[in-house]
Amino acid sequence: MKREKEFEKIIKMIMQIPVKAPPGDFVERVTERLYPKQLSFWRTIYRKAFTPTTVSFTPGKLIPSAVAVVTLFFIFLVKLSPVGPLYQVQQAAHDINLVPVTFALEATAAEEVSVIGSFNGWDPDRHEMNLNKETNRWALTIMLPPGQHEYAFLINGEKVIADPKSTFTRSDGFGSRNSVIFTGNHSEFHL
Amino acid sequence: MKITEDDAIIDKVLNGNVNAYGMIVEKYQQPIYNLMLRTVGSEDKAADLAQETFIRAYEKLDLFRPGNKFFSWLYAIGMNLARDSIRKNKIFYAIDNKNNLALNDRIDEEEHNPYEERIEMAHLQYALNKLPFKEKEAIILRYREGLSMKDIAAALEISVSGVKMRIHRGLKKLRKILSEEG
Repeated sequence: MKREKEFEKIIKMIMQIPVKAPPGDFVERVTERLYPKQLSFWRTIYRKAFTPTTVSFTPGKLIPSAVAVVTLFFIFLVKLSPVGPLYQVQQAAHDINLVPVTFALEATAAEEVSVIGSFNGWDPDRHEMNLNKETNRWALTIMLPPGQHEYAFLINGEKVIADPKSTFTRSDGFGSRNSVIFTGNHSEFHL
Repeated sequence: MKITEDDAIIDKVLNGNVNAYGMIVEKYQQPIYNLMLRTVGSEDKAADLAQETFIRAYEKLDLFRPGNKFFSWLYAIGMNLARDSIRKNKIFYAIDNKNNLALNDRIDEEEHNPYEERIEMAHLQYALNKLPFKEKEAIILRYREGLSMKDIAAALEISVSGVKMRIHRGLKKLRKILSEEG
């Protein structure tokens, strides 16, 4: 207790240590020796990068920006999606009514075959078919929503052919024809 | 960490405004001058060293990181200069004559301070001068200048726990010296 009181007294005295004023012309003596500073470009960038910055905002004014950001994010997601937005909407609406459709092609000389169509945005990587060595057929079963779908086969990543066994075909507008299938509830098509 | 008034002035200085630096010198000249005075004892030498501290700080000003406490940074430069001066001159500047301090340093305040108080203050300054450099400055910065532990750590270029340790140890030594000498 005595020690603490002595410490307190010492601290109180330290707080009252007299200070002396520097010579009256001290500031001038320093500044007259200085030359104007000119920061380099990189040093300016460095300082700006490490200078704390205060950002203020009004929450209400942020609403339009927030809506714009969410919209852009949604558009970005849709663009990134391997299938088109129309298909996504259709898929969402018909998820519970999907119909299994098996695509098949006899092409024993092919090394790889994909089915491309309106249901996968004509993306060759989405539905690669499997070769059944016993039947020598390339086949793949896909769940599709009810409706009509255009499709074709892509052989070895280069050659596009319509399904030789399809009943319906439609012009692609570029001189070739795509196959067309119709799917409905409680039905299954084997091609 | 936020931008301070000092940061704003420094920004002007770095954009070529020499006069703005005068505001910095004006603001901190007293503690820096007194640091030197405590170190070298002579007013002329103290003024030279304090001046040198501000010039050195000006030259290195673009290295100062905005948001940090400028005084701690400046004080660290002053401390290094003071230490170099002690080493270079190999002179123990500390005034070890307690009566000398009482007569010289308090002359202009004599009327307001009773003789006993002046003698006590002289004892204290004598005891302070017996402390190692960083212990003494840690105590002065803490209780005379009112700096935070963190800012003292930056000024002395040691850790916060190092500051706490020095302050505690320094106070114990002061108490011992004062009780022996008193």
